[in-house]
Amino acid sequence: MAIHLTRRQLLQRAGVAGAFATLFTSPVMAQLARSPRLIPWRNWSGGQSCLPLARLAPQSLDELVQVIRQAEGKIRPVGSAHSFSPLVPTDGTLVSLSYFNGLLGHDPRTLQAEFAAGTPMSLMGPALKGIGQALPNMADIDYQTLAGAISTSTHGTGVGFGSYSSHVTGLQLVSATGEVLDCDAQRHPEVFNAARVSLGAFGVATRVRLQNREAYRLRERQWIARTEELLEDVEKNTRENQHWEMLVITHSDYALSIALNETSDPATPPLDPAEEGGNEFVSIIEGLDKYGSDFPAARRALLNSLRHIASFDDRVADSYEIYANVRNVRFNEMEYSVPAEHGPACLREILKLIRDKDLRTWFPIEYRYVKADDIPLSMFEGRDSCSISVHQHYTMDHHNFFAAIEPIFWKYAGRPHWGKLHTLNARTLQPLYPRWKEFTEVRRELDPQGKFLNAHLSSILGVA
Amino acid sequence: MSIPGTPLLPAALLALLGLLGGCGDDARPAAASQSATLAPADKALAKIYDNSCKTCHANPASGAPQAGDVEAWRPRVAQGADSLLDHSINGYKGMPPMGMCMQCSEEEFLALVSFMSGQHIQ
Repeated sequence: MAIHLTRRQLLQRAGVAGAFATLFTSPVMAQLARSPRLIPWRNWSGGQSCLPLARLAPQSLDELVQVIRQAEGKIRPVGSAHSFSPLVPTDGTLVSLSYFNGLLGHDPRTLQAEFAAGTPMSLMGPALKGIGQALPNMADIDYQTLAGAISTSTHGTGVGFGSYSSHVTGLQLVSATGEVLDCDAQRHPEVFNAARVSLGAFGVATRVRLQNREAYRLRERQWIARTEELLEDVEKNTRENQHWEMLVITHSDYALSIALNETSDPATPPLDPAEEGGNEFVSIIEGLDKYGSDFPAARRALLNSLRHIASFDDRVADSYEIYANVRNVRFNEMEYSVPAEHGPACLREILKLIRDKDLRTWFPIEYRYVKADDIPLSMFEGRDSCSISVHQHYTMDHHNFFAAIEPIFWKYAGRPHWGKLHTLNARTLQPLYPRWKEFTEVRRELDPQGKFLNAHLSSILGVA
Repeated sequence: MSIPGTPLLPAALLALLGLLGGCGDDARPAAASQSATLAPADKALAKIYDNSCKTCHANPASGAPQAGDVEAWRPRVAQGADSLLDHSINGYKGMPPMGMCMQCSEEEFLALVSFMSGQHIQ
């Protein structure tokens, strides 16, 4: 007679058998029988994974210091796992900051506020509104934690606005030795300056102080236009709108243009949940790819016709409600930031390649602008930038698509987003960052043994 | 986005899209106010729920089954604890791997699903 067991039943029975065996075998076996099963870690897209020895979530600063001092092997901090690049994977200790959460204090005079570093960006808007403040700009996804967002120079759009990292005025770090460092422009300024974009390679950030502004509302206006016309009008669109971006519909001649501007108008009624975030739009395009990719001309005609059937109502709400969108379709992403003036040429070349080679993709390409900053390893260091992001649905192979596009970014001196997929290493990255040495020297001083370096970080930072 | 169809080609597109209906997730949105106020009785679990699951499971726009929506959870729970654990840890469609809880154990994942579905799962 066959015995059918589920995996869980099998594990439970194996556990019982293991416990029984400990009565007769070695202490090592007894330890193994008591050990919980290792659970793999995966990132948001599912494209990165590891099997860490320990996944820990310390509940206090003291606990975190002990974890860092006592952990054997590599330690990697993890936020909401929204990075597509392998910043997190480790077979050592994964440290979650999920209990380092919430608003810690604020100054109504300077409009600065301090948050625990593990606070999800999605919770910061309402907390700041409660004290009359708001972030000056936000990304269109708010699943990230604050520490994760600043560690990778995550950003929104707007020629007058820098990344989240550029608004950091102070932070607290626990280094590889367990030392707690409070840094800002006066205290440990060299550490502070580089730690604003650290890839989690300096230690674990526990508190972050941000320069905010008074709370405000935004009006969102969306319209579909020919991509080429929008590119010709880039200067006008970016000058006349505080936040402007476009989502280019691949295999079509059109893009969705999105403009956000501050307003004192009253809030409009909340959206129907089914329409929020434009996911309905994404579903339509996905469907056309599935059934129309063998007929490229018909697909292009159908996609182009979307402009006739799509209309968008203006939306007014608190800033944080307008910036962030629900994204329930998972994907992998590659993003490079090129000098702002090269943005249109770079995008045109990408779109030409996709069309000429009929590259398999259906996700829109995101096209945004970010103001220059002075952070050594920020993608925006020393130059106003245009960020161009290409995506692939998480079930579709992204390697060939990204590999075809990536050389175009290199041609325009693009810098890859640290949290997104790319194939560069220290040899190719260093020439892109004039202040590379400032970063690597601080890192070496804080973590000479490389306790916070996994294989990916060793590769991109050039540490053997 | 709203779709007030008019010309011929767009009408054909709408017809095509109509044929494609049902390809997506079939989660049934629950009243936002209902799911937004629910929290696990256990304080430690409530903390985890607040920091992770709540982002989507108390937000109808996410398309995820909402906390307390027993009907939406019923077919999922029927798949058994193994499937629910697999989807929690490895992700499934819109559900991200780990469900935004990087440190959760199998027992915690199951306790969270039990809370949200209103059905005891082990």
